[in-house]
Amino acid sequence: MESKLLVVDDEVFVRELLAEYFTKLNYQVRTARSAAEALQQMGMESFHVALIDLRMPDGGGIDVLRAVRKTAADLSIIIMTGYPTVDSAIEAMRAGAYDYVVKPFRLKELDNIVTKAVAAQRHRAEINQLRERVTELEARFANLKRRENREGVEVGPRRFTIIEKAVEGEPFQIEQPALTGPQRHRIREVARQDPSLYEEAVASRREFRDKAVSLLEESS
Amino acid sequence: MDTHKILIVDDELLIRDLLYDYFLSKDYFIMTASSAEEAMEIVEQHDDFDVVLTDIKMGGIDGLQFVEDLRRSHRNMPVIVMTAFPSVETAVEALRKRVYDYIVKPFNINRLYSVVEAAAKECHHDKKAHEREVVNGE
Repeated sequence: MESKLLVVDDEVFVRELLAEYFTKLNYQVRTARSAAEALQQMGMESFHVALIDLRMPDGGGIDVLRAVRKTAADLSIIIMTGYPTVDSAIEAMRAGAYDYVVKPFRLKELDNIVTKAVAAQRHRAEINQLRERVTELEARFANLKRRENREGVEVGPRRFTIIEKAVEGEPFQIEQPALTGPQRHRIREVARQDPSLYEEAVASRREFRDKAVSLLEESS
Repeated sequence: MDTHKILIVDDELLIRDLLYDYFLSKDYFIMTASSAEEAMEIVEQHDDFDVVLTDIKMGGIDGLQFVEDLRRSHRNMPVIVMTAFPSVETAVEALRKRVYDYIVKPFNINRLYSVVEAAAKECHHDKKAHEREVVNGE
């Protein structure tokens, strides 16, 4: 898949150099001349990585970083600067920058950093999806528990399908009415004949959760 | 108010002594290590430090490698790094390892204290939240 890169710098030379270089490397590159333009671009489409100059006339890269951190949680932002200081490096990293690179840089080195930043973006996106899925699952379980209390054991097999499908990776497409009568009947049959399947489903949910948690822990 | 527990890691005796006396006067429980290797051993025995304060440039394993090693077993233990040789590279690397702060030596001891206090408080907050989670969890 083609990676999308946004280059933000008020210097035309830097924009053109980076756009040309990364286009050759098969990136899909967009450029912006200012913080405002960068925000506008990011509002219109999503990117994997953004290279943003630390200081531009209408605002700094760190301001852009803070502004988009909430809306683009996965995006890897690399701050570039010709005037590096320890304080601004700390500020950038603390605000959630993926890296802080000093100009002039070697293009090959920047390429290495951007490659890693793309991988980090994908990793974060996967984690965020898993996190959402776990939250979704927890909510469903809470709901089911309430229903189970109200309606008795009948919900058990249904819980099984929900878990199974969630583990298969389609937790958002399993609204209950989608199941036909015969399907429901079949699921109940299975659950009745083989209670261990039910246990297995619960276990696979744990496994799924564990995977999510371990991915979360691996990150950062 | 609970007593905060701090681990001080620095290969310079003078710094260790200075910080030891200072944090003692603030009612901290303090342990010190003169190397990352020693610090790792201490952390293995006592895993309940509220904050770890470590120098970066030390003989043997340096402070940044120490933070990385520490992160494997203590993912969220707050660490503050100190250095007399600040650089953009070490600052970026330290922050990426999720240190709480990067302090340049010579430091103002009051400022260092306020950073340590803030880090320790955050740690207490996390611990309490974790306890709640454990109690409420399945």
